[in-house]
Amino acid sequence: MPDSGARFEAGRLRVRWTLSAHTRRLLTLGIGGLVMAVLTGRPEFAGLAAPALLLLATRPADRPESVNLRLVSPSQDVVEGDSVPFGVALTGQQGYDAEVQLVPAPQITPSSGTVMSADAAADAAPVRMEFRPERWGRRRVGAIEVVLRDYARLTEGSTQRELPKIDCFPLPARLDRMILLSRLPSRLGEHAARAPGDGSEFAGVREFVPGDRQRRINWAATTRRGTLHLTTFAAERTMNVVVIADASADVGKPRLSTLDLVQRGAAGTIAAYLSSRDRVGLIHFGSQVGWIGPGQGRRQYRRLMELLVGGTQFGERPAALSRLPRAALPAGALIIVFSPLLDPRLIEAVRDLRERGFAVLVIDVLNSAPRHDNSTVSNLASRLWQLEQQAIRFSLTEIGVPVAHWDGVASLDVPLAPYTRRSIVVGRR
Amino acid sequence: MKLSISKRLGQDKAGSDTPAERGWQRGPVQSGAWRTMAATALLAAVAISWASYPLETGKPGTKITLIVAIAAGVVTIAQVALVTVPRVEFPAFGPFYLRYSDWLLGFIRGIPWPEILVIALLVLEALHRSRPWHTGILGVALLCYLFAVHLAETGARPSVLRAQLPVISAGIGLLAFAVGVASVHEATTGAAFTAIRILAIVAAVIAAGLVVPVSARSRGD
Repeated sequence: MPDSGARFEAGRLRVRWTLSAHTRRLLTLGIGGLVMAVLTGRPEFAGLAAPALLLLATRPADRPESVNLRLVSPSQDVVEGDSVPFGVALTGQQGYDAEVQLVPAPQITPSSGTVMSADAAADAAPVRMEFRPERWGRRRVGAIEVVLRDYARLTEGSTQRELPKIDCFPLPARLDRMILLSRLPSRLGEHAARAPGDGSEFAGVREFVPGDRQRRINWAATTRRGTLHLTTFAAERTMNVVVIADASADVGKPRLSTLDLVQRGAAGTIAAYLSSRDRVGLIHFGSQVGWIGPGQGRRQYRRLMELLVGGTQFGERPAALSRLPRAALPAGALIIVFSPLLDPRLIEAVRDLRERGFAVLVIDVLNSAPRHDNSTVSNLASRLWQLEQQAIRFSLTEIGVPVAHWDGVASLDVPLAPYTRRSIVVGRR
Repeated sequence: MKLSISKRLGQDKAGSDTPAERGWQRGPVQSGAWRTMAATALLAAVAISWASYPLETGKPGTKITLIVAIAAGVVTIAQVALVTVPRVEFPAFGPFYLRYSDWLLGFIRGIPWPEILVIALLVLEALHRSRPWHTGILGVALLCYLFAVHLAETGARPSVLRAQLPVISAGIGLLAFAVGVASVHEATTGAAFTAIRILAIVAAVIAAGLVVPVSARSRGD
């Protein structure tokens, strides 16, 4: 749900003029011919220099000191892998052709450049260009480089302007079926609760008692039983979901590293729950811990994405999540942790949350192991490491924290299938 | 990556005289770019052969200059071919062949090989005995070679040179004039005559350089 607002920026940029490569070559021929003529005393060499020198003499002298560059900035919220359009309008080029191109920053692929004609000064309509961010993150796009050239390409003037930074959101993992809790807070939502209410999902049939609404009388059951029966419906409630994104480690293949998977999984989960009107919060467990309490709506999505992408720039890294205020972890919330489970502090935090009675589910995103050679000691160390990882996962499962492994390629529905078929029963162990 | 498109937001500007339509364009996808490159290679080969012929009559240093010219000609073709190849950042601690490739590409791209070839050919021509008509033809070949390199580099069509045709013609006229003067020189000898002739040609070039831009501008207006 990125915000698609565009910004218009105008600015006058100073042009730096240099000789073109063609001019330098002609100059070499001209000067070389004259020098040879003098050194050898052969006039034909001076004549050899004549065409080059004449061409150089036609070099235009009136060059614009500066040009006006108007930038229709790209949307600042984009998703990795998407093509992002933006516009560039140039005026004041004074009869010079302009080549406009994007000098990209790392992880940015420019998809097009353009040549603007010398008479574009009168027509200041922006020219459309595009780029594609290859990886999520708060990152530089690069600079717009404008190169002015005269009709014979004897002089070149160049100038640059930096594009604004963008928040490139991770590509959300697909999540169609959601994990639901058995006990939902009494807020109006879209999930059918166990308690009867005014929802639209059928809950059962019971005997009529005075005060019930007559329009809900189930006439088929009433006819069969001989007494008035009515249909009951399940209440529709919302759910509090807190996503914990563990950004403390980044291991694995590029583009499928643990951090990539954490980001994409968390983004997919946030988008899925927010689109079903649930209240979603986020705890970003990186170099520092940042949090945003559960909320709803587009603004909440944007705030969560900003925290997910940018992390937090201040604060200390606590050993556990118990210091977080109550608003960050409301009672009865479903907590979904995306983590490679490599940081003991996060594992302790998960245990702590479970002991406090939260329904916690861990999605393990570790898909790689430390490199090792075939030596005995290395094999032994690798085996120990694997056993330790298995023990961590086993200990979490034993205290009632399911651990689902996600490879980052399949939909999130695949590892979560065992937990989406029925509601997770909430309770303290 | 650059492409020569003139897309407008929402609509294409139909019928405009864009640089791409005039012939200037730059980008990796250019039909006929190989033709310009082939022309560059051919002109370089012709110029080198012409300047070095006959090899036996050359003064000492001819062979070394010829080797330099051939090397510069070959690398110029590689340089022109690399214009369309995007620059790739190789890892600093990558395998040796990647680092070697990086160094090699930098070496090819970084040094002004066409200029080296031009100087080598001038020296090669100077190392032979005086033959004005020969030098005149070499001058035309060098000019064509420089334009071919320019067109291959920028991906432009040869029609873009149409605007410069009068100036080029004037230059070649001066070259013919210089060759004529030099031919007269073959009949008369002496340092004073030589100096006067060179001064005359330089003065002609300067005069043309003052006149041609004025006439070119008045035509442009």
